Amino acid sequence: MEQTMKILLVDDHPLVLEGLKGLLATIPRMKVVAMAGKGTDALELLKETKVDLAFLDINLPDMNGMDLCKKITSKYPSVKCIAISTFGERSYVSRMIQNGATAYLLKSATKDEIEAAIHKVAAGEFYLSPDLNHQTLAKDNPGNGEKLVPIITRREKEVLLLIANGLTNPDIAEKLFISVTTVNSHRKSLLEKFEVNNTALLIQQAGRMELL
Amino acid sequence: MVNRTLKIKELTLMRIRFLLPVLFMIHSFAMAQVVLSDPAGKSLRKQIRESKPDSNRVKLCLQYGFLWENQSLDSAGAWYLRAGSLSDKINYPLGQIKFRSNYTYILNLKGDFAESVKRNQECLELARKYPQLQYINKSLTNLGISYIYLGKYEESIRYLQQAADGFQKNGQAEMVPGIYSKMGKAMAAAGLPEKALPYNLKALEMQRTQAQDTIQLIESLTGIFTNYTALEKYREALPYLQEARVLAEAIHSTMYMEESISFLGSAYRNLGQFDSSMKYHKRAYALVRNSENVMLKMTVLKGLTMLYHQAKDDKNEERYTREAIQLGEDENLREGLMGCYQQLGLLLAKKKDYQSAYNLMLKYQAIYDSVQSQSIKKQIVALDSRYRNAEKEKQILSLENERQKQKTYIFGLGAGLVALALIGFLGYRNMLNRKKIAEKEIVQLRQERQLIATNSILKGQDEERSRLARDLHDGLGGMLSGLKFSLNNMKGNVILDEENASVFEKSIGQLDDVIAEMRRVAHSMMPEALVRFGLKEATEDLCDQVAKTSGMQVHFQVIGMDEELEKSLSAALYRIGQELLNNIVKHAGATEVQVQLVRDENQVSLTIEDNGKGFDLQKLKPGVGLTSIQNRVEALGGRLDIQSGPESGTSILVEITV
Repeated sequence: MEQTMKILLVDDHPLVLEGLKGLLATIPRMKVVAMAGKGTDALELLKETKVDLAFLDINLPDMNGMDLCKKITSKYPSVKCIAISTFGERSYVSRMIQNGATAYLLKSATKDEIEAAIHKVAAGEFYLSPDLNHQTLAKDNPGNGEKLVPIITRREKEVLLLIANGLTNPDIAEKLFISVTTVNSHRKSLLEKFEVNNTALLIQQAGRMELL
Repeated sequence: MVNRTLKIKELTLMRIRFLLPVLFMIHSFAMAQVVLSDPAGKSLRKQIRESKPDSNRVKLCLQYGFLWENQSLDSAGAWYLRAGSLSDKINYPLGQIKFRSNYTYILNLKGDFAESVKRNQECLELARKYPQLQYINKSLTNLGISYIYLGKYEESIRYLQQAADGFQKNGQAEMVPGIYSKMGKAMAAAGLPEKALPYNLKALEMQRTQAQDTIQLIESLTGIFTNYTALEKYREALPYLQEARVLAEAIHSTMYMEESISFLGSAYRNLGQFDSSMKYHKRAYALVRNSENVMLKMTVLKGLTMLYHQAKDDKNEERYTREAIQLGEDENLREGLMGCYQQLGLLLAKKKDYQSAYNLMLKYQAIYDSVQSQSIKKQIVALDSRYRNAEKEKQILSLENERQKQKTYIFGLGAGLVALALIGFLGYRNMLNRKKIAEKEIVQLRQERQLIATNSILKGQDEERSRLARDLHDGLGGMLSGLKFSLNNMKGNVILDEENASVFEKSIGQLDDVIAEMRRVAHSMMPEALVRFGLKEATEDLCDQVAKTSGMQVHFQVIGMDEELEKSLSAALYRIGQELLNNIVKHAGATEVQVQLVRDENQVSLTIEDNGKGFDLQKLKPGVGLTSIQNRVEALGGRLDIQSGPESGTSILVEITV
């Protein structure tokens, strides 16, 4: 931490650049060495200037922040990328992180939060803005062991029961007043959800899970 | 010489006229000499009186009439008529047939030939309906005979031939010679003795081999004699007549005896054996004197006058001539009279009684003229009728042609009409069909246009929103963010009193709210993620957001959405999901929501289910939310499957073919 952190700011809004620059200037041992309004400009700057940290916006006029992040981290692995965006959606966050970002901040972040993020990143840790809902990121991830009961829709359940009763697709279609293609689509979804390859196994699996 | 031929001709004519009444009808082959006082007649009359009006009485009447035939034709006819009307009344076909065959015989003898033909035709009609074939043949025979009397020999021969064939076929060969003999008579009457002769000879030959029917035999023999005489083969003629005479005497038939003896007189005179001739004439005269057969009487008288003329016995000649004239005038035998007047006139002139002779010659002239004119008239009538016949035939032919033409014409017209009607009908149907198709097309086009319009409006809306969202986000959002960073910077550098500091802090907080609100607005307008990463990510974000804001548990599942969808389709599906989730948040009161995106080949389906209140599908009033969803689904050509019920949650499936 004795060393001064050299920082690159990439945002298409000069106001944000200025604001952020001013904000970072208030934090000790932080120095904004370069600022860019476009992704290409940022990559050009990186060729000449050595930086430790890059603040990347997601919306850029020539490329998006996620692609830029990927390029920077692959070319300059020493450069740590912090995403700073108005978007808090999971899709952005996960992509950004997949592309090598070590932190994700919202633009509504306070100075303290930014500082905390920089410190964590500098320490080689991972930082996510507390405003992002961590819960939702937790996937319905089945653990290793036993297969979990898949979540199936009502139609799928109806179709499943009728399949178990030995009805064919056209029979089911007629019975449920839906088209045969729809029935087929439901059947495929079921196979997918139960992770089986054929109807027999589907029935077997569903029976084991006491769905029938 | 001339005189003689004329006389022979006259005789032949007489022979024909005299012969006609003697032609026997089929029914009366037996000769019966019955008188009223006859015991058979008496018993029959008694039987008739005691009988009931049934078929038996018909038979009795016919029998009784038959008895009368030789006595009084009128009485016989009256009895036959009685049998006929009774047959009609009790519907007795055999009686109807028999009545006609008997009654026509009477009609023929009385000279009512037209009526006879009519009755015989009726009889033939009746006989054709009657099961026994023999009556048909009998009727044909009688009809043939009637036509002889009418002078229509061709028809006669035609019918007789049919009858002969019929009898032969029917196994009644014994009837055939009689018919041949009648055909011979028809030929003779037609003035064709050379053609008549073979028939008569054939008939005779057949009769000789068959059971003997004397009267028929006599008829044939007499016929052959007449034919030979007409052909002036007197020597050949004589033996037949002699045989006939022997037979007639053997059966004591007055009628045939009168005839054969009279003819013998003529035959010998023709042969120039005047003594023999005179002998037979005298015998004949004795026989016919009181006979009803005036024609025969006339013949005999004339024969006598000719013989006396030959013998130059003027006295006797005059005596018999006068008798002949008397008879002729009484019976109105004009053709016979004519010769007699002439003969007497010549006799009186010889006696120098010129006055009387002159008067007789005048009478002769008058009759001659009248006969002549009558025969001319007859010829004219014959010619006329022949002409008329030809005309008629022509007319009939032309009428037939006309009718045929008309028929063809009518048929053609009818066919044309039918064809026209058919064409019209087809045309009409075609037109209707076309109209229907056109209407359908119009409706389809209208729908398509509406869909396109809706689609483009929605697309335009999405594009517009997208642009606005971007502007908000990038422009306004960026500026606000910058502003916030500047203010945050300021916070540390500027010294404010406590009150101002709190206001400043509050302002920054408000600025945060503004940024957040702007983001919300922009996001709901068009999520950046949708444009950037596609439906799957955007929907996932949406689910996260809903879960965060509503506190419901949101399960999101994706199957096979690896390939990116078309932008407008993605946007539409996203909007549908957004709308449905909004509805759930607002109305359902659910605790759990399931969102599922499935891509299967060219099908994309979005399922959104909740465990909320649900609703009655029947009572569902299409709210703005559901209507706009329906519009979107329709615009994409997809299907909407809504499953819901009170207190049982809602499951909505949107299915779109890519």
